Amino acid sequence: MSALRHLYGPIIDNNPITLQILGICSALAVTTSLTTSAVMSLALITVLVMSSLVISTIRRHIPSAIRLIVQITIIASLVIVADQIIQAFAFDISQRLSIFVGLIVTNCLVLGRAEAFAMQNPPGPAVLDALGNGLGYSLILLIVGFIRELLGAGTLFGLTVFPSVYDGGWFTPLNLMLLAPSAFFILGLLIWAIRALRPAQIEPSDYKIAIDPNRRAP
Amino acid sequence: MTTGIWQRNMVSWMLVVALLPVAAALWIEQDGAALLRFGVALVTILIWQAVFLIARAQPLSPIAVVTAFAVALLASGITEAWQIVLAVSFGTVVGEQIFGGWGRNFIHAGVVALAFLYFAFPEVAHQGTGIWVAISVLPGAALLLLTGILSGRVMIGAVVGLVVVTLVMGADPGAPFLQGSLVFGMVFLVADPVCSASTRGGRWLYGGLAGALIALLGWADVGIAAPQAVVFAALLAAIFAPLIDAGIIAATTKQWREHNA
Repeated sequence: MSALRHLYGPIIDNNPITLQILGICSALAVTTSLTTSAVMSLALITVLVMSSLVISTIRRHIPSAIRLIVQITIIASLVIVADQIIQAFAFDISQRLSIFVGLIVTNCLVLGRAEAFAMQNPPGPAVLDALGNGLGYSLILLIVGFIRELLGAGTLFGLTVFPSVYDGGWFTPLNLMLLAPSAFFILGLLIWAIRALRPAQIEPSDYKIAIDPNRRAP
Repeated sequence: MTTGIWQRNMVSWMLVVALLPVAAALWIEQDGAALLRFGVALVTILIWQAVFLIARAQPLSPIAVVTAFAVALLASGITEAWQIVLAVSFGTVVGEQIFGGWGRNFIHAGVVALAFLYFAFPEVAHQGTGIWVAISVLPGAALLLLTGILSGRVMIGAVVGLVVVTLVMGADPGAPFLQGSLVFGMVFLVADPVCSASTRGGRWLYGGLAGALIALLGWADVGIAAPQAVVFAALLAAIFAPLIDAGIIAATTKQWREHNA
């Protein structure tokens, strides 16, 4: 059972985006619609699981002086394959994701799991840990993508849910939701909500507000 | 400010008093539409203040009136109540309440709400207000200057920055001061006592930056009559204010060390 902790631990309790604040760049960029969020999530899960498996399998053969180069080579090879597959079978989505599938190479999440977990653990737990982190990342991406597409365009997966005023409906799309700052706001509010429910995630404050013991004012 | 009469609520009441002539001028220029926006915004803010009073014991603040009035004056194109409710909720919660209430925020809640409105509903056209509002801001500004709530350094810095950049861009330097929304924004949003810089040198720099940004955004982008220029200038300048203060403090302490050595 303890092996399964690697799988469900990162989904909420140790979520890569909301707790470790990793992989923010792509989370902001690709979440304008649910379709791109889902494809990006699938690509990341595939790359993360495969790279953790490969790196964990050969972990005793990687010289520690050049381990980062070896890890990046493995991750980059897998990313290129993933990118080519998306281009071959879903070209228009590949166009909308633009550079962000390629940028999985530099996603802190992938290298972070390789360096922090796969290098020290056997392939079984490494794959579970990678899958858990990938699912945690995907969960946040899908939530943000859901909110942004629904409120920004009134659609989900491109299908109309709220008919917008431009098509004769009643819904006024919030243009702000299609801009990157809205993803920041949604992520921030999401982190707030998660930490309100799980106070163990709250970090100790850097500075304490001093209150004067003789204070009489309201 | 924990003793005497100059407590937190007193400062915000003074800001409310300074608004009264502007409210009269706005009533003359726009009648009831502005009053409706003001009412919707005020009720929304008070509800959120009550929520945070219950949830986090943050005291209610009369600053709600100032925020609501800024939204009523500068979002003149908004006709639907839900848009104001949404934007003002966002502004007051994300811009003010999550930092611990008014006095601990680093950007003006009204500026956040207005920026939200301008970005979320870009197709709505907002028109600025006229000369009467510009004149009516002056008595309030004088009162705030005399009581020390409004910093003269920020105001002079802003005027200088605005005039210099306007001249550089080859426009009429008197024109901005006839725009009611611009003058109102300079006094109540840019020179807000909480969000503006608070060191002596920092206030000059902050004011100059805000004034220059107003002129730059006004003349080069949305037009000097549009309220967007002053709101976005206030937003950008307020984000830089802590950095300006930190820089001035670092430079000052460095100077001390050199003297002592």
